Amino acid sequence: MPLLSEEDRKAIRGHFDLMTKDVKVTLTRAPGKCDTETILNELNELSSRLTVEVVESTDKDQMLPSLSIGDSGRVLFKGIPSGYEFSSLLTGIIDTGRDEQTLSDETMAFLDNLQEDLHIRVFVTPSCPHCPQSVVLAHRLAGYSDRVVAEGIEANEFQELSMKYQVQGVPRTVINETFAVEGSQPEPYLIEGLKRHMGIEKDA
Amino acid sequence: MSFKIEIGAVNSGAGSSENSYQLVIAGGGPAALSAAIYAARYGIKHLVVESWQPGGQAALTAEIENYPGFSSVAGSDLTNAMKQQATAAGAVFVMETVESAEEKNGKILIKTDLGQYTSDYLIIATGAAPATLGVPGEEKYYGRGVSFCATCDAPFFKGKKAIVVGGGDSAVKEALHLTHVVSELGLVHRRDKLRAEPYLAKKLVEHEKVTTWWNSHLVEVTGDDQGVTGVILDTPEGRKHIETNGVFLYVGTVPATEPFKSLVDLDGKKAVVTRNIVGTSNPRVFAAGDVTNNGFRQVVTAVSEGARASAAIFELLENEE
Ligand SMILES: Cc1cc2nc3c(=O)[nH]c(=O)nc-3n(C[C@H](O)[C@H](O)[C@H](O)COP(=O)(O)OP(=O)(O)OC[C@H]3O[C@@H](n4cnc5c(N)ncnc54)[C@H](O)[C@@H]3O)c2cc1C
Repeated sequence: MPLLSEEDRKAIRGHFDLMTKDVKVTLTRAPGKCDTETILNELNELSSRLTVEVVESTDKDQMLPSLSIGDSGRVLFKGIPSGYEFSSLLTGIIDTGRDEQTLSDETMAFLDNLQEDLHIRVFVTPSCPHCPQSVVLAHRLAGYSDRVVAEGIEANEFQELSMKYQVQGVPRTVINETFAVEGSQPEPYLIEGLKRHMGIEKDA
Repeated sequence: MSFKIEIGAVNSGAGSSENSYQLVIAGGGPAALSAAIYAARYGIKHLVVESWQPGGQAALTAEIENYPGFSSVAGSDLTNAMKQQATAAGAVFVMETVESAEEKNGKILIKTDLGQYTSDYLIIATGAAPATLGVPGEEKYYGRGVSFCATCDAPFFKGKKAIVVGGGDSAVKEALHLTHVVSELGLVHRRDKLRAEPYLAKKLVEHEKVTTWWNSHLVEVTGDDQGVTGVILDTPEGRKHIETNGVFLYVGTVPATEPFKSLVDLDGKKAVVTRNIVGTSNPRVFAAGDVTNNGFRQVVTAVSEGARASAAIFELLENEE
């Protein structure tokens, strides 16, 4: 039985129809079939703009499954994108397939002037309805700036990493090991907080 | 693990391309979802504006046992089914936050973080957010042991100690949920009796992992750079320091009415004052669910009020023609 119901397909097709560019999603997985591959194949049928590439990895140290949306290698999701995180995946695909810019002018100016690379890790669980917002925002920052790498990370699946980053609640966004925020922060708050942390003046 | 899917609202980012509606529904919890199902079926040109994924508070609970038709259903499954039903009926969602609403030229002007909309009518269904205690350590350790969502965060407390503060239905239900993962659970309540459904209350109080602290108040959350390490309680036997890793707060809710405070009358607890169940002080504005002063805050009442609000607006629109 397919994972997506007929109703799901209809709704997703409606969203995919907004795409104006081709999008490739690369799944890196351990040997053997997995649900993430099945769901990607089902999504693949819903738009001619989407292509799915599957890479098999036997590297025990790699976080698998791992998804990379688009060609940049900067818009990433680690773990199974199930539950609410399925909408992070969908939004990531749709965002990448559209030319429209959704970030605010202030955010874009901040990203344009970045003097260092940002690695954003957003820890989530599939049962958290507030989490996709944070993943989507991080993905958008990475989609815009080649100085940003953004990973959504399913905290239950990568417990060691979650412990390392002291995740005890989701979403938790950790940037460059040094800056962390709890909860789903709207774009302006996240950027303001980050600027303060980086010592960038508000109006600079 | 089965692959569960919540399509939710896919944030199309740039707001809705249209900005004039017959009805804007603010919120995306059960009240809004029910209003959306009815609005769509009535053919009302509408938009549902929800900050996060649709589902509201109901999506934050693992199990609902009192919604007619389901002996037991995961909150997110129930609200996801509502969302799907609404989408199939033609409901339109955007993932945006209403920041303000005012009356302008006989219409309601709704401003969000991404756009603005004018509408003939507005349904306020923004529900309620968890209340906080305002005690030292609560904000500092939010996300570092302090949580308002057991469903989201329970996995991080596997085999650890946690306490739940509160005595209502949600406190008791979420405490029961936590007993499945934690090693020990403290329940802190300011009275000597739980307000929750007696059957659930008994199950919790008799649970082997549970210690109860009656007539007690949480006065401080303590911690170190790893997160929460304990709480200080005011108990009838004096102050006590209890070791715990998790602090789950279910101490009531605050209606999410900030954007609407100049549009409709609110009561002293910030709830929208209703007339005839879903009407407000403004004839173009209706309210449904936990955001109202109707009391009895449940999924079944929220969906009923959402339906009533859309039906009332349908009738008004019909009469205007
Ligand atoms: C832990 C817990 C367990 C519960 N268990 C049960 C149960 O077993 N049975 C039962 O019947 N009820 C239960 N309830 C209560 C039930 O969930 C609520 O009564 C119900 O969800 C109310 O629905 P609502 O649509 O009025 O508001 P909410 O569910 O609060 O939804 C409001 C929505 O509006 C959105 N919103 C808020 N402000 C804005 C804004 N400015 N712009 C855009 N969107 C906004 C919010 O993000 C939210 O999604 C429980 C509640 C909790 C917290």
